[in-house]
Amino acid sequence: MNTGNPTPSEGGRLSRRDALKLAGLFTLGAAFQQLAHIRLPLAQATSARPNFLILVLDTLSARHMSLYGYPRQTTPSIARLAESAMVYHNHHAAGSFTTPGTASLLTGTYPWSHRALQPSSMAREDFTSRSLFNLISPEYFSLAYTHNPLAMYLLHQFHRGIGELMPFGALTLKEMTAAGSWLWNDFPMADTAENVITGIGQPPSSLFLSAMEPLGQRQPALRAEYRDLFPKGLPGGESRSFTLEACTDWLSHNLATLPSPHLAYFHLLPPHEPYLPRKEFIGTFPADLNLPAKPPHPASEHATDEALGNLRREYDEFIAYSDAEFGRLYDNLLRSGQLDNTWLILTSDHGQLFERGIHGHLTPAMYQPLLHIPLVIRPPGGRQRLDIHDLTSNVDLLPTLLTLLNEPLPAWLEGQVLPGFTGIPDPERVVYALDAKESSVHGPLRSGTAVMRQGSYKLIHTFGYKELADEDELYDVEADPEELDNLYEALPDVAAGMRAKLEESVKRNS
Amino acid sequence: MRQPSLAPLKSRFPNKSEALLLFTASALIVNFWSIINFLRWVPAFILRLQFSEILIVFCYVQAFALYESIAITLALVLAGALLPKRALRARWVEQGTLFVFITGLLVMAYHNLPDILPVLRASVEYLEEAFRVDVPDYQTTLIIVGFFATATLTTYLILMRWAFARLKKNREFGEGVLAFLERATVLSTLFIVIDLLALAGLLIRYPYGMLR
Repeated sequence: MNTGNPTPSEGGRLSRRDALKLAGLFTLGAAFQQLAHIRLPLAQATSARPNFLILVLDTLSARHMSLYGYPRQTTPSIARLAESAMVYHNHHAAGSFTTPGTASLLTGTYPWSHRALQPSSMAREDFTSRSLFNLISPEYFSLAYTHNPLAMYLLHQFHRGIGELMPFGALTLKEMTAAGSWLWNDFPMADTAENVITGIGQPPSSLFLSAMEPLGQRQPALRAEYRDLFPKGLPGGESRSFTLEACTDWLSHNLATLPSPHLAYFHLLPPHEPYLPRKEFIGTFPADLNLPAKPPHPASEHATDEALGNLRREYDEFIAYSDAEFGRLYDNLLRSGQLDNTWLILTSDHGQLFERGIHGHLTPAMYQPLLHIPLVIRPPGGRQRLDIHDLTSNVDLLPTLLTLLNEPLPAWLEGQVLPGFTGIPDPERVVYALDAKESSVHGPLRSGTAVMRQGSYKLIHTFGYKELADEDELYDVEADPEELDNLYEALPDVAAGMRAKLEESVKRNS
Repeated sequence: MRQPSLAPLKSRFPNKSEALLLFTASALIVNFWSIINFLRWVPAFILRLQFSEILIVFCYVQAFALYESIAITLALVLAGALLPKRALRARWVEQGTLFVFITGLLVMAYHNLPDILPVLRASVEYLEEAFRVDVPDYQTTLIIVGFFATATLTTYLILMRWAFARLKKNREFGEGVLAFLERATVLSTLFIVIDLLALAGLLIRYPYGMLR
């Protein structure tokens, strides 16, 4: 589906959609004045082929960022970036955990199309050459890195488009897995086998040696070395310990040495759990937030509000640590002049949930903290802030980058060029998200949670789970941001219209 | 002048046929467990992997099983060489086999701990309620872990003691172990062939379909 914003003249007559867009043009005069500032660096950049730096902070919920109004000061550094960038306030992940979220970001399609549905799965085979790395102009040198093994599966799948895919060990203190080190060339298969051998969620297939694995994974010297800085332990855990400081230093020193033009994609694990911030961030947010009580979800893990409150605080501290390191990187890049010809894009793959008895993101409960993610785009030499409140999705990033580079938009893309780049907001925009980790990637979607956002409404459609009843929820997210008042019965027309559209989309793409 | 000889050292090691028999025993239990647990993953793999990919994962798992079987055998060979003759070398194959199987059973119980724990917890909580004893949660966990560790270790030690004593006293018992091993050789050989094919498959595959 090509959604590349056709003009009214292309269709020969003015549709209702086009009329609404034109109305938007007249009412958004103020926004266009700001857009003029954005276009200037873009025009300059296209003449000199700008660089791109995409930073993905894993599991960063916009609902936990002070940039987006969260009461705890979690992201002062990202707020500094926002002062010279486009800030998307209504940006959504298309998936609820790393695999579908990252695959959507990199392919510009929804999970029902790319089918990276389960943890450790890859996108459909025909998507191997349909990623950002494969579609970007061949004159770009691309570099990719992630700490997250699930994202690494996808980067391996797209490796033919990546100039240099950095192994885990490049930015970790010690890589302890066989798949991540000496079997690196065959990472997806070797890692899957290593999970079977060492046993993740199942007894290990290795009878004797796996019992000794905890001893082999211990790194007492490393722990002792960093105990003062990271008293709770090093980020990444025992098998893949790292510090964000090392990543920041590496990026600060090495980005300038990459061939130009380049695309650098860095998918960093923090603030993904376990929450292990540096010492000075522990205990930063002692106060209780007094959040509204929410009823337990049918998929509740029965976590108490007190436990969720503690986890939320730890998560916020880890965000603050990640933000501080981002701030250091941002300052270094500014100082070195690297950002004069680089688009800096900061986003996430999905959010995190601390409510209704649930902690985490591997859940069918697709509420806003899980789907609302940040998107901040700083143009080369950006000087002014532009706040964009239109509904957007992480499937929009790929078409936007291709448009920036004057590359053709493939017909199979499901994202749209982001508002702020076309100047034409789409008031009828619909964005989707899907969690279907119990469905087969090869066949129809038999169970899952599908989400549709349109205007201020959000429909959550849960279907086909053995342990959960099929259910629909409808919220007015603008009037009820905490999603407490299910309007499904109260607004039957809106509910029926959205349900029909969502079902049709799911069926068509199954 | 007398030439130095390795004969005393050599005499401490088991001969080839003994080592092979013990390798058969190790391969049997290691591969049996490996295949059973690989099969547990297959339903999840079918959802997301192609058949060829499942086969590659199986190759890795079985190649590791081969490595594990060799490692266990070598460890027992070394133990046989280092320990006093009375302790292990007298009936090395029989003792080694019993050691591998009994230890294997203990480790199997350890690996199934996540499945066993909820049952134990429910039992302890039932008893706490029946006797109206209010025990903090962490103490319940301690009771369960303590009970499990004591029970399995005691069972293990009793079984080992019983098996080794019986081996010493009862010649027929030792012959029974050997007879079992000889019969199991057919299955073990099949397992080892599968492992070798898996290893060969990986070696052939490695240059293809990887990163540049």
